[in-house]
Amino acid sequence: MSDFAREVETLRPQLMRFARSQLRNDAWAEDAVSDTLLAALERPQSFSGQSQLKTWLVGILKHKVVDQLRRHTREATVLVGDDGEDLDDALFDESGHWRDMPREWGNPEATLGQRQFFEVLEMCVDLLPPVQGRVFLMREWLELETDEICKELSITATNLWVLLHRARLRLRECLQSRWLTTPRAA
Amino acid sequence: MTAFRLTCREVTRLVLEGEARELALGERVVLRLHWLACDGCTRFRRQVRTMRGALDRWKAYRDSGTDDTGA
Repeated sequence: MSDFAREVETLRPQLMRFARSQLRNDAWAEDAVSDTLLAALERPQSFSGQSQLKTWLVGILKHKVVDQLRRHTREATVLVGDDGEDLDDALFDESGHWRDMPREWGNPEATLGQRQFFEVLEMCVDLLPPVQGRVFLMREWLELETDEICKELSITATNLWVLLHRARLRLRECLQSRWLTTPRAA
Repeated sequence: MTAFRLTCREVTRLVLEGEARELALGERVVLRLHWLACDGCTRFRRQVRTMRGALDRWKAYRDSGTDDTGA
């Protein structure tokens, strides 16, 4: 194995983690990562060395992940478990007022330290129900526009907004309970 | 058309929609009016901003960071 191939290979676990969290399906994630590594090894000359190897690979991975979503559109949008659940009724009473007033968060990044702050964020994103997690990361990680996401997943803009709304409320709940109570790592 | 007075539930929906699309001027005005009178929604808005900033930095960190936390 060449040095380049070895270096590429060491990044596989990170690529797998990103692909899994976006795709929420191990088989699709395996395919996306294999396609990425294959593409990278087939044309190492397109890695200019200007950016980091990881940045270059993640760029390729994002395309391969979209390919997978496109290939599995139908399955990727089947709502399971609590995907269909709204938190709204838990947060607001019948007259639309907060049941519990939102709290002041302060600066959790400073309190926790950046590394732990990001670890909590990543964990909370991974805890989103599958369809919510997919659309949320298509928006936040793949940075696709609303109409692109709707097209790739064959859903309406209204569907998408509802899913994103649920995802953000759920993420907030998770962050609130973990950012504000996790003790600082020693 | 946005009603002049919104409930906290409606304000929350609109604030989160503002993460996905640009809000209309009328919508931004009713939000402002609501925030003037509502501490809960003002804090919620600050929480959403904190989340926004965190997500942007997290994205940069995972895409190009040399940190191998998750490896």
